[in-house]
Amino acid sequence: MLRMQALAAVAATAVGCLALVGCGSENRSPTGTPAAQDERLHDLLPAEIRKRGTIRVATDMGYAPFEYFSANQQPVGLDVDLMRALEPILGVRFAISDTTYAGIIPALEAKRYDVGWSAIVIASLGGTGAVDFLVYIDPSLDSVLVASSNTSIRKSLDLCGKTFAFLQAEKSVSTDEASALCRKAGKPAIKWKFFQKTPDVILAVESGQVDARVAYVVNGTYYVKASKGKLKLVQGVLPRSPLTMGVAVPVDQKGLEAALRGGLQRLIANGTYARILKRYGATPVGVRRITIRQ
Amino acid sequence: MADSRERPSSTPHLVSARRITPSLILSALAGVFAIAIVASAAIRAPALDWSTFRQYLFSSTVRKGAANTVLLTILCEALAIASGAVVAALLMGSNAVGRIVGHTYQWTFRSVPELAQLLFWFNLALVFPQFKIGIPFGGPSLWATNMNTVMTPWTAAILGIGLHEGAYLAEVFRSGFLSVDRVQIDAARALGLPRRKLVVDIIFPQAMRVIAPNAGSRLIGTLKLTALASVLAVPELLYSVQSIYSRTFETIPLLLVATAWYMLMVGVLRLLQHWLERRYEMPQGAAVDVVGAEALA
Repeated sequence: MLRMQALAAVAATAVGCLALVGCGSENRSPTGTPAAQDERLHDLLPAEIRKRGTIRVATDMGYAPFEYFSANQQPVGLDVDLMRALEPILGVRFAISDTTYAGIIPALEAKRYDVGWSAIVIASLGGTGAVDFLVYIDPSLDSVLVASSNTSIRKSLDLCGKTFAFLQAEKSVSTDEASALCRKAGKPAIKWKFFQKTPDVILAVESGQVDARVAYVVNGTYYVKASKGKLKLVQGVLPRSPLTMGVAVPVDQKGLEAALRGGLQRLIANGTYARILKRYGATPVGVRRITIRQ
Repeated sequence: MADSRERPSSTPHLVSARRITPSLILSALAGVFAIAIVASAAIRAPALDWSTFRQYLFSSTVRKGAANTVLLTILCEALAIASGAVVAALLMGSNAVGRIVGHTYQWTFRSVPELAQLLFWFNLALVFPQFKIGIPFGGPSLWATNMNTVMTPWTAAILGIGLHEGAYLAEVFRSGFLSVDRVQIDAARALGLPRRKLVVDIIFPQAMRVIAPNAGSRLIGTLKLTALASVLAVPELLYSVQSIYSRTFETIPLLLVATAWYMLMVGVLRLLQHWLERRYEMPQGAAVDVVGAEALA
C-alpha cells in the first residue's frame, strides 16, 4: 500500500513537471543551492493553496525590470526572482497571470488571484481597505524621463505646463508638489495623460506625445538602456517623494500574509534578497524588515 | 425585362482597362511615384528599424500568437454565426415576443463598447461569484463552480466578441433574406415546391448573394477585433508582440510585425470571400428562369 502511494506520488510529480516549464530549475533558489522547505511557513498557507500547490499571482507583466517576459516568453524580473526564491521555502509554486496595473485590486476582490505582486505602489493602489501590503521595496521618485532631444527641462519650474505620462491608477506626490510650486509662481500646473501599459507610456515619451515620465533609479536606468539612446533621465528637477511598494494580500488572508512575510524575511536573512536586488540595480531601494501597511 | 434583372457582369470594365490610354499611363506613373516616396521614407526612417522587424517576423512567439488569433477568430465567428442566425430568425419570425427578444439582444450588444464587454465578461465573478446550473430563483443547483474557473480569458474573449458580432451578423442575414423577392416565394409555393426545397434552392442561394460580401467584411472585422483580447492577456497576435516590446521597447517595429501578419490573414480571407461570392453568382440564363417563374405566379 505504501509502495503504491509512493509510486502515485512519483507519477504525480512527473505529470506536474511535464505541465510546468523548466521544472528542474524552479526548485532551486537563484543561487543554485536547494533551500529547505519551512514546514511552519507552509502550514500557515490556507488549505486551499496547499491543496492546489500554487499561489495565483496577478502581475502587470509589462513593467521591466520588475516583471516582464524573457526572450523565450518566461516571466522574469526582480519580483519574479523573489517569487522563485520563495517557492522552495513555502513549498508551493507561484502561478503568474498577466493583468493591467489598474486591474489588480479588482481581480483580487473577484477572488481570481490570491495575491497581487507587481511593484505595486501603495500610495496609488492602497487605501481601499480590501488588501494589506507587505512592504518589500522602498524607492523614491526623484527623476524625470524625457526624450534625448528634449532640452526644455533644466530646472523645477521648467516642469510647469508640461504633460506627464502615467499608467492608469497611478498617483504621484512628486508632480503634485511640483504643480503646487508652479501655481505659486503663477505658472500652469503639470498635465497628466493616462495609458494602459508601460510600453505605451514609454512610446509616448519617445514620440513626443507627452513631455516626460516620472522615474526612479531602478526603472529609469532600465528604460534609458533599453531605448538605445532615445531617452535620458533628468535629475534634480522633481521634488522627491516616497514610492513605497508592497505585495497586495486580501485582508481576509492572514495566514497567507504571515507565510509570505516570513518567507521574505528568510530571504533577507540568508542574503538572497540582497543578491536579487543587486542583479537589477535595486540595492539602494531595499528594506531591512518586511512591514505591513494598508 | 430580362436584361434589367441580370446581375451586372464584371467583365465590361476589365475590357476597357486593357486599352492603354494616356490617363492610364499617367495614373500608373503617379502610383509608382507615390509608392517610391513612401517606401524610401519607410526604409530610411530609423524608428522603423527593419532589422528588428525581420528578427521577430517569424519568431516562435509571434507565430504562436498568429495561430491563436486564427483559432480565436474561428471560435468567435462560430458563436457569431450561431447567435446571429437565432436572432435573425427571431426578428423575421411571426412571434411578437421573439421579435422583442431579438431587438433587445441587438440593442444591448450593439450599444456596449466592445472593450467594455470584454472587461465585463472577464470580471463577471464580481457580480455572480458562482456559476450554477439548476433551478432558478434560489432553487437547488445541480452543479455549481467558481465563476472564475469557467470565465477564463479565452471564454470571456469568445463571449464578448462572438455575441457582439452576432448582433451585427443577424442584420446581415436578415438583409440577405429580405433581398429575395417575395414574388418568387409565392411562385415557388404556387408551383407546390416543398418548404425545404424552397429554402435550400430558392431563398438560400439568392440570400447568399447579399450575405456573402457583407458577412465576409464582418469576418475581417472580427479577425481584428480579436486583438482586443490582448487586454485579457489572451496570447493572441497583438499580445505576443506586446509581450516582446514590453521588454525591448521596440514598439513600432513589433507593431509592424503584427500588421504584416494581419495583412496576410486578411488577404486569405479576401480570397475566401471572393470564392464564396463567385459560388453564389447567378449562373448565365438563370435570370430568365426567374422571370419565367414570376410570370407563372
